[in-house]
Amino acid sequence: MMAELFGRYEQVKASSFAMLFDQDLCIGCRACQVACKRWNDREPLYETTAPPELLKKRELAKGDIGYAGSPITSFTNPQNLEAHTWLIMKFDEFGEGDTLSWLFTRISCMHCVEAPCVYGCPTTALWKYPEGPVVVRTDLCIGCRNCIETCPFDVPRINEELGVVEKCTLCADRIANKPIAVGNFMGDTYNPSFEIKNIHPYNPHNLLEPACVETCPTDALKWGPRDEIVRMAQEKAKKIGGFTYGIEEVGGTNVIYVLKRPPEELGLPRVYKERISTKTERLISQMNAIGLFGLFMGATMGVIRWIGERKNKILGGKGGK
Amino acid sequence: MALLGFSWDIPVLVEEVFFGLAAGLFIIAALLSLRGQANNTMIIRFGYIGAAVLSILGLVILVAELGRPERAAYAINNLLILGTSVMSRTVPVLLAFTVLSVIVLLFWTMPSKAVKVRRVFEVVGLASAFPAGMQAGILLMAASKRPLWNTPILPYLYLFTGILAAIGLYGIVLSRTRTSYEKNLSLLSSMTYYSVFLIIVSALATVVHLVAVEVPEAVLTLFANPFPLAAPTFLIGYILVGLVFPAAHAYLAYAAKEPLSRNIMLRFYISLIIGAVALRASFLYAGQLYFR
Repeated sequence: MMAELFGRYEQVKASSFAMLFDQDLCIGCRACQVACKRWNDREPLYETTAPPELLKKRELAKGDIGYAGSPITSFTNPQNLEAHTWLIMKFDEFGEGDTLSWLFTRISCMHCVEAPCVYGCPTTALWKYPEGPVVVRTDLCIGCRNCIETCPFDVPRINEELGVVEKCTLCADRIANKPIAVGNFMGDTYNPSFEIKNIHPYNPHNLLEPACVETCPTDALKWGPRDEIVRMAQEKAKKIGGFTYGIEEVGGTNVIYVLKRPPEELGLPRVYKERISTKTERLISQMNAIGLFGLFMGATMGVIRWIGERKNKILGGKGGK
Repeated sequence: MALLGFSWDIPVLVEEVFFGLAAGLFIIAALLSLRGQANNTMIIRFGYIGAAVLSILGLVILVAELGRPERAAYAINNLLILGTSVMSRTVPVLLAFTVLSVIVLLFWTMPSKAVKVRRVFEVVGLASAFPAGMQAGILLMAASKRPLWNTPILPYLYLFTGILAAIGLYGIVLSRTRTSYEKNLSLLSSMTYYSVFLIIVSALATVVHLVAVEVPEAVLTLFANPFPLAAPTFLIGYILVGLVFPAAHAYLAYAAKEPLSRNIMLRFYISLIIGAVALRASFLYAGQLYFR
């Protein structure tokens, strides 16, 4: 049963859904940020646990602009992902001739096809669904923070209050479960609520899109089958002379970017291309090989020493002759 | 428990040091016991007590530093369902080592009883002590976000320095009084011989590890990043105090062709422990200061 609900690499790569972020169309309205907070019932801003001065020092010490953290004068708001902020739009200014231009970059979970956080999570709290989302099942999370140390995109954040990790779910409750249809408005301005009219059976044609995709006014965010999204991303990147991000990173992701500038210039991490299983098992095999070699060398030296000692003993027994 | 603002912080460092030291103490005690060193009963017992206490404390810290300690048992889930998580794979190793170190210690309350059974547990415990000593390194090696940790050498570096720190602790206990020092001179000389060998291997492993790191900028954070004292801890604590000082002492001993004074040897042993702690601290923090 569990195996059926888990998205294996080949299965996800072949038949999952994906999101396309087209930087060329993004106007930086941050409607996606608001939609994310509203759908997922997130607090406006969760206090960061580390003192801001410390975070600043870490940014400076690193020698470059942080992945999600821009200088304090940036229009990026909130400044970084945290337990209650699963999506931010990063604002960057670039000089083009005599003018300055804005570029807006989506910073959120990339929902890797084979996610390092899922691969490394000791409790299976992080889970990859066949439709594409990587979700934290917070009732299983022990707060070991292994996912924070393995995510190559620096996405998961600890919620110190609950002792668990939280991050974007790709609106798994909208896309992977039976979607709800809301009916009449029943509340008032201060307590809004809707009548739930119907719960549709799950099928690929009545899926709700993630909240951020649905709310995007310029279609900078798109939703569809992954192979189709990959094709669209490649075509668009070719058309504008831009770059793609997420097609090859960590063996592929379920969120794919079309960027107008190289990912490094936008502060996106340079991520390895191989799958996490390949990378981890390669390291473990190498470690085992080194251990076996060391064992062999140790045994050889032990045998040589034993032979030497035995020879000395025999010679000693014969009066050293 | 993010005391310095890092996701893996001081409690993780303490756990790394405790398990490294516990594994080292167990390995040396087991080797002395299995080689039938009957006159070293006191020191073997000390080693087993140290291993049991430190591994239990390590486990307690490991659980206490979780965001949800009451769910610690879930850490085995991945091994049972997917079998992919390196952290999940190391859980049985640490548990087995802790249980075995306690069992062996119980046998050593009466060393002359059930010697054959005790030896079986000592051999199994010895086999579990090596992965337990490497556990922290294995965990860091698998953390794919941090290039500074991603080499297969790191677990061995942690194992070797753990054993060196254990030698340091044994040395301090054996040299605690002048009488004890003179009485155990033969064992101390033997341990010094092996520690010199291990220092050379550790130094080589350090070089190989730093060369094997795929991203040179990550190594720079170890060499040049003063916050939170990652570079000074590595350069002064590990390289200078942990490797160069003991190597210099060993050379002095070799050149003098006679055992060194108790005071010099005490410094030698203390520097081995400082070196192991400094290596773990500098790698833990410098590793978290850089990602691509």
